[in-house]
Amino acid sequence: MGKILETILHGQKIGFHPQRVLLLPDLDAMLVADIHLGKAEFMQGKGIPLSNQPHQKDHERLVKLIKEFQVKQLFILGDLVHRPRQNPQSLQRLIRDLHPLAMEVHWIQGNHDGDHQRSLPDSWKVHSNALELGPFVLRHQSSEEKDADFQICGHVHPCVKIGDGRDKLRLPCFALKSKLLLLPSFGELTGGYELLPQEWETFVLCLGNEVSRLESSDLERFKKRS
Amino acid sequence: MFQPVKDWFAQKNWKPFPYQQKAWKAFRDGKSGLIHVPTGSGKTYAATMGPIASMLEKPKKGLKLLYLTPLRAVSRDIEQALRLPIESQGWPLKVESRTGDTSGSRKQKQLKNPPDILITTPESLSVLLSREGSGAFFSNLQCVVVDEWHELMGGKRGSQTELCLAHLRFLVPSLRTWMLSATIGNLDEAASCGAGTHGEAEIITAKINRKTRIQTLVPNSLDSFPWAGHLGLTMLPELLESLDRETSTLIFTNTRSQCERWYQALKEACPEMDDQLALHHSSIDRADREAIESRVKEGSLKWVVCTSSLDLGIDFHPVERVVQIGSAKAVARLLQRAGRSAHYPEGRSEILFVPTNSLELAEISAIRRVLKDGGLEKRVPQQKPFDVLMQHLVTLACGDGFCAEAYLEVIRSAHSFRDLTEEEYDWLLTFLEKGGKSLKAYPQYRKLVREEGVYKIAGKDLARLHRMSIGTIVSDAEIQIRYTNRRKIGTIEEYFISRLKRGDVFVFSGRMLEFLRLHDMSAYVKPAKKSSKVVPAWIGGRIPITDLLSEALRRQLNHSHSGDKPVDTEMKILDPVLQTQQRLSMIPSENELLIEQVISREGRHLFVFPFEGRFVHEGLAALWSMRFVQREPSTFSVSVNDYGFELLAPVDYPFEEGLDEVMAADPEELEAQVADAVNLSELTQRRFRGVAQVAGLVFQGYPGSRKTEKQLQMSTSLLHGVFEEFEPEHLLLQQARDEVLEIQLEAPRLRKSLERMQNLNVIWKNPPRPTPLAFPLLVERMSARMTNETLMQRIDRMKRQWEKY
Repeated sequence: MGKILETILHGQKIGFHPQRVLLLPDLDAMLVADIHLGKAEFMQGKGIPLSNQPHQKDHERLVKLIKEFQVKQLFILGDLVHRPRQNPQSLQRLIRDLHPLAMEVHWIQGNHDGDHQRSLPDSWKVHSNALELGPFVLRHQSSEEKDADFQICGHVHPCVKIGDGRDKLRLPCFALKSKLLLLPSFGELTGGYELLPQEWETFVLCLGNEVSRLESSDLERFKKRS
Repeated sequence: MFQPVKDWFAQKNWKPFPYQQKAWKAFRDGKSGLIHVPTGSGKTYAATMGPIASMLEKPKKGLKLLYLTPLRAVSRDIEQALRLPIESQGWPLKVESRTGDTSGSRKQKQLKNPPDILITTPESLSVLLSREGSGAFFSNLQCVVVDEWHELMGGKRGSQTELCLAHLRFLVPSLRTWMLSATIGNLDEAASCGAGTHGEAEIITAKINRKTRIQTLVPNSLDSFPWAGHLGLTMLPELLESLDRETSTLIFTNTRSQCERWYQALKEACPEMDDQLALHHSSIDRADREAIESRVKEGSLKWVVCTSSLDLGIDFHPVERVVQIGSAKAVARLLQRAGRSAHYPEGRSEILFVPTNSLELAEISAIRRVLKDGGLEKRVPQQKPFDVLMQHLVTLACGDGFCAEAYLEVIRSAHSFRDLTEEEYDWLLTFLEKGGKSLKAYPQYRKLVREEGVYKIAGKDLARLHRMSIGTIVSDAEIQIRYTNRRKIGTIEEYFISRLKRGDVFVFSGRMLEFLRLHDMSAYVKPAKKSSKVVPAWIGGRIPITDLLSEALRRQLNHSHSGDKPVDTEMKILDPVLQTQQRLSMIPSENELLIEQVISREGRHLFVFPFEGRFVHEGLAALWSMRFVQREPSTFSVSVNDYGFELLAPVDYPFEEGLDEVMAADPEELEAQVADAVNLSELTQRRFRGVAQVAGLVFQGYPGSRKTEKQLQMSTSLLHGVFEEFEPEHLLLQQARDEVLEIQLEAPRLRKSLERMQNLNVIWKNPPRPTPLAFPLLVERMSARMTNETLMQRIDRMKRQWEKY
């Protein structure tokens, strides 16, 4: 399902997967952010014919990744569902299909999830704010606190634009700087927010089947040229 | 029946024109159609006095006459013009306007107690149809008049208007509909659009002696004359000499950037004119624009530099003079602008043409030639734009609803939709009711519901959202420009702002502005102390010369080719340039295609001159470079203008060897080949944004909108991607693709050009240096690179480029 880029971060082996998840092989863990289940149904209710087939694809993609890497711990960095108080069928299905895989699911609540109590199986743990994992702190939104530990977060739906004029591409990416790693949004229906290259150090672009690592200075230089 | 009207005319010492009387009688006889006479010949009274006479003869309650104008600013002028006889004669009739500016309480009153005559815009009419009880509101309607029909007809607003008229005709079968215009070439079609396909259309024209005098500002010396530079200010001293400080003058430019530049130049040259000089273009904030318009009317502004934003028929009585900077690119546009001076019957329109490059002299000569032959451009109505129809059906569903079976024929009675098939109609209804073909994919979808065969909107919240987004004018994602106190100045395109750094200074709305920051789709600025020459560029600023004009241009050049004496002043001024062209290469006749090959330090240039307008040349250049590259791989730079195109290749590229193969086009495969050459899917995705907005699939932000509405905003590229993957046969995707081919790339014209080129004698020249025809292409090179690489290849290539540092 794609070529992984592996590296060591704070002594921890991590793998950037082009399908927009982060793998921590030593912990048998996988991190995923911003799936936004139920977005299609919400839009449909407002008269916008957004098909929910992409949610289905997201679901299949996620389950396949979990099986492929024999994940024992799944960390969801927020915004699993699109609307607070929403309990979409796609969530029920995800819970059902993950159940036989016998793993722990940690759901860090995001701003879209709300604190509404949905009925979840025991293997699902809900965390309202942050969660430590090895040398990292997992959050939905990054915290501005100084001297904080290294954070891994979602929420932003990061993208970068490369190229210019007629010849440009907008791609989802992981974004890295001194104490923060942003995960791209996993859901197909989530759109993206364009990051300013100068505010980041390194990007890992997700190209479907492979990832491509770029330093921020590369992007800057290319922009100036054109 | 017409006696009261005739009395009033007599009292004013006017004599009705024969065409006016003909129009009144045609109305009386129950006919519909088109009135086509020059600007300022009394069209308004020709169209309205019939219905007014009938109201006076047989008074009835309710709304009788609906008057549609494309611009709400015009509605005040029309209202005044109609009030004039009503007040002076004491006729018991009430005239009112209803536009976006009308207060809510007034609108409510109009619904309860409708005036006899209502002046409104097509969009406001749609909003009226979206109310329950609209059938009763219009039940006494006798006539609809649509002003400035040429302005609406070729676009989606025209199709929207046609659908509204069809619906009103369905409500009141005896309804008469009249279109007014001054500048349309295809009268029959224009009339049929207005009258509907089920009725017969009357065309009323008149031989009104309206002279249009075109003068050309002659450059003092042709040597100093630039070959290109559509923004060239070289003619400024000559223009200043001919401008009069006391004469109220409109100075038309073709693009907004050009408008800003000329305004700056005039302001610097004549600082004492500062408070009598203004600029007007569509990106300037509406309030500011309206202030300028009213100052023109008062006569307190003397010179206004403007774009097509002032083309329409606001009656600027004080305007005595019109200047056109650069070629108007269309005969109709030039006439329309010239008509802004002398806005009264029998007046003479005058326009002063300021060339910005020497070859534009030939264009003006061609315009003069077409005018002499009485030619005018056609306005081609849109072919069944599904997005407009979807919006209209939802509009009706918000109101009294519509019955699926009976309504297809009503839709087909609108000219734009005469070919709508049953399958397409069913598809649209399914889409509106269920979200799409696969029900499983849209379990929560709600928009329309069917109750006893009648389609209604599925909820009040949906109706409210829909009413807010009625209309077919779509804008690109634009950034508001604001001062730090949040006061709006206007709008600008994102890609221009994205290149600015904090502290950069640029010119906008005639002001020097310093860029501070970008926040929430607003660019915050403050007045700058430094000055700058940076003017924003707006996408889509350039318009191609029309079909009609390009043909006339080829004829004019042919004439000079035949060695006859120059036909007019312009051609005479141009003569030395043409002589040089002849000496270095040649001037192509109408049955020749000139190709020049020049070698320079940059590489090997191929210049091709079909004289078909810039859009066609863009398509041709893409097509040719693709075919050349397929034969012999290389990288080309491409440049186009209205006369031809240039391909620039490495110095050893064998253009000549490949030419025959490249030229051998199969028109059958044209569409597929163009699609390959121009990266159609990307263009379609961009076009889809507008289609999705009109169809109501995405919402633009509303001022003061509540948060829930913000959450409905979604990128159209996301929606496009989902449709392409899961509903590839989606009619709206198909429409976006057709719009790219038919409108953006002018595929029909391209096909015609290719056919024409097959029959031309190719003349191959190797001039020692770029010729006068080629030079503008060299100067104006825009880089449009070909790309048919995969994502990964593109990234690799971009990376390689970075590595060069």
